Amino acid sequence: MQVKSRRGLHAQRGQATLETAVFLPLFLLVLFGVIWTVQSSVLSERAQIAVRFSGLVSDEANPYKQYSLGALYDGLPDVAGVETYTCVAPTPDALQNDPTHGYFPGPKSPSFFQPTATTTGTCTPGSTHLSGGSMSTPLLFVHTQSNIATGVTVPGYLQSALGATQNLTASQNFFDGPDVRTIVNCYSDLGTAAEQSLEHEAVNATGAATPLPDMPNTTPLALSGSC
Amino acid sequence: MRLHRQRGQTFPIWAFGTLTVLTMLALAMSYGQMVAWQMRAMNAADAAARGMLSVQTTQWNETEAALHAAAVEEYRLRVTMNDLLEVIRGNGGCTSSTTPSCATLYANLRQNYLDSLTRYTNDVAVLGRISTPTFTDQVTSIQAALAQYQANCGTNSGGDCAFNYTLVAATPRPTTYLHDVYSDCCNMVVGGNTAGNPKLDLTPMQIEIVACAKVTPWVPNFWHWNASTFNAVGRAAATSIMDTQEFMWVGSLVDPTSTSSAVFQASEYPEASNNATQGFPYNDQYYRIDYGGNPNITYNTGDPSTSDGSGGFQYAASYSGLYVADGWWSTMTIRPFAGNLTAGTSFTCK
Repeated sequence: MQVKSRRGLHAQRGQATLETAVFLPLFLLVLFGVIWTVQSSVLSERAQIAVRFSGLVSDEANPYKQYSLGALYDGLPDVAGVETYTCVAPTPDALQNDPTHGYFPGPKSPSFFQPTATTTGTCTPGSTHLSGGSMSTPLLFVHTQSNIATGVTVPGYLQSALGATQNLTASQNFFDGPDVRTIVNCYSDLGTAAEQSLEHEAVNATGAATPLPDMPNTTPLALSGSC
Repeated sequence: MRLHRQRGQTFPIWAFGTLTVLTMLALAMSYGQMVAWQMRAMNAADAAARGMLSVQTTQWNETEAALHAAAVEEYRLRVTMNDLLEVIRGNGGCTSSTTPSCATLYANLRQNYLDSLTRYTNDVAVLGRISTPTFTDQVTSIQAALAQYQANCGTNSGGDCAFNYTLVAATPRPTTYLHDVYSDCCNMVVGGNTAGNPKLDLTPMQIEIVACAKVTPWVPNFWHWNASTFNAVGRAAATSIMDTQEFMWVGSLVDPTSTSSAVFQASEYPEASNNATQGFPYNDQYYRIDYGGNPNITYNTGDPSTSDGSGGFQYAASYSGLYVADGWWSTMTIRPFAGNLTAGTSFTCK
């Protein structure tokens, strides 16, 4: 009986080891999973902040160049040529709260909260319009499509399930009302009329000036093809 | 007793610990997902809000551009008609025997007058084609545009496909935190009416847009954990603002965008076929069109404070020049103002 009890005692002591052997890897796996989730969640949110920074800064009005009489004269069809737009791409500074360039307050995030993959921020500005549906006339806009792509390395013990890198992306298409240059450029009838008057262009009227029509032309101004 | 305490001692500890970290994992995933979606919803709403006010700002900027062109042409016409009278009367030094003769000057001025009238007619026609919707029509247009913004999602002319966009408020902007359109230098009121009661159709609008998405949580339901679908809601408001006001004599102020540092409207010589000064024997000051800053008129310095122009949003033509007081429209983000909103009632989620 005594021998049997001693055997049972050994088995029970081994049970604790067995339980630890089973649970410890599982426990650690989940615990590291928590840590990794926090890391990637912080970067996901910061990717959205990077896109927000790009969109809002790109839409910042420049009164001197965009909303002034100078913008009107500079936007006349024979002066402006093909309209070009600029934008500010999402910056990696946003992902790290990096104050180096003065955009973010800092302090810079610890390396744990920084992306491990290459960060690519791009932006595409331009003019566009909305039409169709129940809209009576097309409506002109300027917009900035902002994108950012980055990633974090997935811990080795999760790579079999999630891959080597978790890609984090964010994008948004920020709309704004068109500036004066864009308006003159895109509504060609308006641009041409303004150009002829402001630049004193000869139209070689013969005999008599073009009379006003009997009934006013109320056809809405049309957008040119490139807009 | 001692043996009993050791038996199975670690199992409940490990089970409890593992369950705890699993719960932490679920909470961390949920929280991270919610925060990222919330920021994305804010971005989606902000991306749409300012653009939709293009319904107002484009119309007003178009009008300003066409009015400026028409005003320049009107001033040109006025001076050219005066020039015709001067030539007919022989003022300025031309005679039938000078080169060019009065007859030549008259013919050139006549052609310039006809051209000018044609261009002016064209400017007026363009002005007539610029839409002037009522305030109600503007709101309807914004709703229609927002619907297309959503329909075009994922393209250059659309928003974030994850969201539903709702215009939850569109009202005239109160003057409590931003001055209204009438607040120019001379307290003029655009569109008539009074400063306290500006014309609604010409009153800057403020709008609020909600972007909402129903988000399926990453964490699956298990045991007592029931991670239900949540709404990611972003609210953004914007208003039309006069970005720039300018007051100037267009003939004396240098256009800062000009590569040759030219004034906005340089002097013209309508009596010449090539629009260039003809010099003596006649005195072209009688015919020259100066848009301001005429050195022969001492009180016209191009400075509105000393010139005879008056303020306000107007184009004042006088013999001494063309005085411009204009305003150009843009948009800006403001704080949401629609108060408490309810999903399903005030706005819908995708």
